[in-house]
Amino acid sequence: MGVATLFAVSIIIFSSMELLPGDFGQAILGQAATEDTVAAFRRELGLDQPAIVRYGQWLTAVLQGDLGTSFSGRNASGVDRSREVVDLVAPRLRNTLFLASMAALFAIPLSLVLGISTALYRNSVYDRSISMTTLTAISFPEFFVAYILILFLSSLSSVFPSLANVDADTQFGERVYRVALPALTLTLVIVAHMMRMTRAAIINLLASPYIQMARLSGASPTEVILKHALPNAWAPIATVIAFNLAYLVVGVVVVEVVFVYPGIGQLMVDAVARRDIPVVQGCALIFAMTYILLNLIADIIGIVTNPRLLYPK
Amino acid sequence: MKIKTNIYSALGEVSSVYDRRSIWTRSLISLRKAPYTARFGMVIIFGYMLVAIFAPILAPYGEAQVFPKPYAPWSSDYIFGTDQIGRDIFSRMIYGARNTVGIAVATTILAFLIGGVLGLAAAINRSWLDQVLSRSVDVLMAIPSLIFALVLLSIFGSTVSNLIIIIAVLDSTRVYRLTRAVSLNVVVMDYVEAARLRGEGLGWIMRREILPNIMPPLIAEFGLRFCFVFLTIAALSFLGIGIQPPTADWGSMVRENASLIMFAQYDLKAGLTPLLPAAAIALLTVAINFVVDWFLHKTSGLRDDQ
Amino acid sequence: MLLNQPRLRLNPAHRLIVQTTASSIRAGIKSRESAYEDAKQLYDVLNLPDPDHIGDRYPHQVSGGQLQRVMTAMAMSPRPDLLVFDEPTTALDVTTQVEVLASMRSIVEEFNTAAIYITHDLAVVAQMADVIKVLRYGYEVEEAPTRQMLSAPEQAYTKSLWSVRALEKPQQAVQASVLSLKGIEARYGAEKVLHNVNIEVPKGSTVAIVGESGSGKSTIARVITGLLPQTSGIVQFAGEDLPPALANRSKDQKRRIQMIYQMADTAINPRQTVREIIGRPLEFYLGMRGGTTTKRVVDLLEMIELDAGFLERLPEELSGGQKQRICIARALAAEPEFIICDEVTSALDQIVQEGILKLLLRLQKELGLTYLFITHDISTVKAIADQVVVMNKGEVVEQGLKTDVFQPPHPDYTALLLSSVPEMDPDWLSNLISKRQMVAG
Repeated sequence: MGVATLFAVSIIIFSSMELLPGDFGQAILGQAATEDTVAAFRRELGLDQPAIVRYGQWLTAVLQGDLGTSFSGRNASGVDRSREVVDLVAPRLRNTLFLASMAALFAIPLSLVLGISTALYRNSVYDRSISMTTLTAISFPEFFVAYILILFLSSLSSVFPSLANVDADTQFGERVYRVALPALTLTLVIVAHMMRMTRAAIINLLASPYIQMARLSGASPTEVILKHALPNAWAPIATVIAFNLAYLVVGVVVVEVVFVYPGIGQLMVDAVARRDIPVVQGCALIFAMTYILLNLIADIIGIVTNPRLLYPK
Repeated sequence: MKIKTNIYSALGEVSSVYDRRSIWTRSLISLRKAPYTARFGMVIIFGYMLVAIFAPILAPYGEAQVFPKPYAPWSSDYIFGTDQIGRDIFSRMIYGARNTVGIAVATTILAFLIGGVLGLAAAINRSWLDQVLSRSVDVLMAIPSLIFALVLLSIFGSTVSNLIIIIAVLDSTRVYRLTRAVSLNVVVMDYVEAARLRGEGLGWIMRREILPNIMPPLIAEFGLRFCFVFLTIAALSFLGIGIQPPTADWGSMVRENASLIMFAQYDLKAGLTPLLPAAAIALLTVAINFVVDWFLHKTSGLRDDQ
Repeated sequence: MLLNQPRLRLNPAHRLIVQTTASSIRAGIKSRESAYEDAKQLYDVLNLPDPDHIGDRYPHQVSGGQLQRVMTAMAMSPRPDLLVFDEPTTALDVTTQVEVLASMRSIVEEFNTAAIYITHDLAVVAQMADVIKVLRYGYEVEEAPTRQMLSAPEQAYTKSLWSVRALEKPQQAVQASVLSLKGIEARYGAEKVLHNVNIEVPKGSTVAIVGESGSGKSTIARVITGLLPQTSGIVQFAGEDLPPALANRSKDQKRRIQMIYQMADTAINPRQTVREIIGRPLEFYLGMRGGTTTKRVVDLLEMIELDAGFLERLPEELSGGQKQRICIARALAAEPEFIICDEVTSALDQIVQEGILKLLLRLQKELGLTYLFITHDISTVKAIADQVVVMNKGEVVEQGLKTDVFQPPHPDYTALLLSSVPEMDPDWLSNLISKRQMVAG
């Protein structure tokens, strides 16, 4: 299933090249480009061959780790200063993963604890205030959260830097310090979502008749949670986490732009603005793969914890 | 204690018969019972609507009118100052309500038309149509929609109509899923079968038997979808690939004035300027979420006479 | 405490024996080993197959009747002083119900436990209880020992409850067939659900189809109405062959066959008023408009013993019996000759059932209607049918006049089905068990 989806996704991403308007060669190379250079450029992209053949070539190349060549750096004179997409993407992917894992490290435990505890003390003052806060928080655009944090923690008090400019030589400690604000922004945004979904999943579970049955038979609240609810909760919780990590991947794009962090999200946004299709394709493929992979893992966790599938009739 | 047993009659089965209230009195009653968060939300939404409709009357200056004073401070002439090329920020905020909200509304309506009709059709048809649509939606949803939107925008370019169509199509997948799921619950009802046995056409079954029964979740979803679309468009504009200048838009206004934030330690008001359009976005989505939250709570079983 | 719908009430993630013994181990009544040993004994007393190992299974791996018995063992494990049964057999078939009832009674007797049995089914309570208490609107109507209560109820309400069971339609002369099924076969996908079914329905009479869930009795209704086209065979109605698929039938053919459903709640649209529900067939089939429609709707409401005050009500403002009457009126509005009644009374209280059955009998007499009655309830059959068709696993086991089918000798399945239907006689279950044991022994 996951493979089939990936395959379908790769076709969609590949077709993005097909949908380009006819005169884009001119657009990329500039008005001064002669017909010859444009034709050579089209030939280089293989646009003179049938789509199926090109898809095959593209897919094999991608599987070998070759994402093609960037459009930028080309000009009308035919001099080619363009770079391989892989070289552009690889270091930035590392930065993005670093930022995302920082955020996930704080967000997952925090939101699970909040989600489960609010579900248990449903309708208490504690639950209501947390729910109110998170409902407000999920309504905020990411950049709003980011700029509020900048205003208070950077502009007014200079606790953290407002620009997260790191490079390959930055030391680990320094790196953590510099990504503190973007990571904090992501954590806040994710926790609100994840906590609400965890709460809903747990409440849903607690309402099922067998949990009532366990309560009737005199099990203590802790026992109800640990022995009766939790074994059935792995699947929904895994889904919630996967869904939100996937959301994190998307949220990263905006946050990287705000903090000028050299990650893959910013690369993609720049490429979109320049209409540098090979780079856009490469980034989209990476985002889509992460997203599908995370959902796949959640499905697998759901399967291995379901007795119906583990012990068939 | 024993009670007098009366003779059975079909008429007497329901003990209390009350006068039916009109829709308006009923909604007035439930409004009066609405929590303060929901009322607050409704007031805000109403306020935004007024601003959007009467933007040209309310705004002191034109949308793209340039003054020779870039980055002017807050003053009586320019309430929130001017931006990097000298446009009045307060006026642009007001026009932004019209542009940003208007585009988001149009997109959401389009998404519901596409997703709703296809979802209903799939739920009723259940054969190849359902299979084809559901599988394609699965694939579309396997790519994060912001990323997908970025890819499509890079191909087609960032015009307002492209933006509306691309986001609407991507978002209609979620509408499709919801419509299909809630309709499936209704389609299996015997009254739908009864209508089919009677020989009613597909249109009648969709409009008269199914649609009235799936309205509450769809209305709630409309609110949530709108928020999502609104935030997506704001994010794209913020990234510089959504609504293009000189059209006033809250997302791009944040981006254009972002550098002002570092001046907050010298002039707090200047530092706040880029936050204003962001806050305008946040306030509207918060308001809608409050209303939807209350609406969901109300329609999930709690009727007004209970 | 024992409740209905055991499937939902057991935790899908734990083995049965763990759940059976959890409360007594927790309360410190027994050690783990002795509790497990005890659970196996309980399974044995409850007649569960393979009592030593069934506890190792998960809830989804056993049948509904077995689950209900596991739930009984679970309730008995800490040796309670009082056991509460809340409609424990409601969702089960009659033949399964007998086994579950028998094992519940034996366990209550064996451990000398007090038990409260809550049910709407009088015959079941007659088997299980020593004392019966009748409740209505939250008040106690009457309380007496079982035998006394059954033979000499004092209150009018209790008498009326008992009288439903006594309703019996006299046998009628047989007329020519209005509907005949000839060699019908039908499938759901690859699975064959009807095998060579032949049924004749005489004009102006009531034919009852009885059988347990999965017998194919509801499938027959779907074939007749055209929802599930048969794979072979002919449906003949009023002398002409009906096209198998609904789409190929004329409006008039659709009009002449109407259907009434089991769950009135789901059979009428909660967002339409009574006027719209009953008015639609009038407009659709008979082309009525405006004032004429309303007048006719009021006529129909009076026919089903309601009045014009109901016109603007929504279904949520009606009781269960009233909703079912609205369904009947909607069917009548099409002026049909033939009505299929699919378990129309089984979701209703006894006393409301009686009202509906009497209404249907009266309408049949006045309008000359023909009914096909699908039911699993033998007392309903006695009340309304002229002819009976017994079905099992998609085949007709026996059919004929009601008086003939209910007289021995029976084919095996009819015998099992008829003998499993609880009777009001408090000794019925004991007699049945000893009889079956003798046959088995």
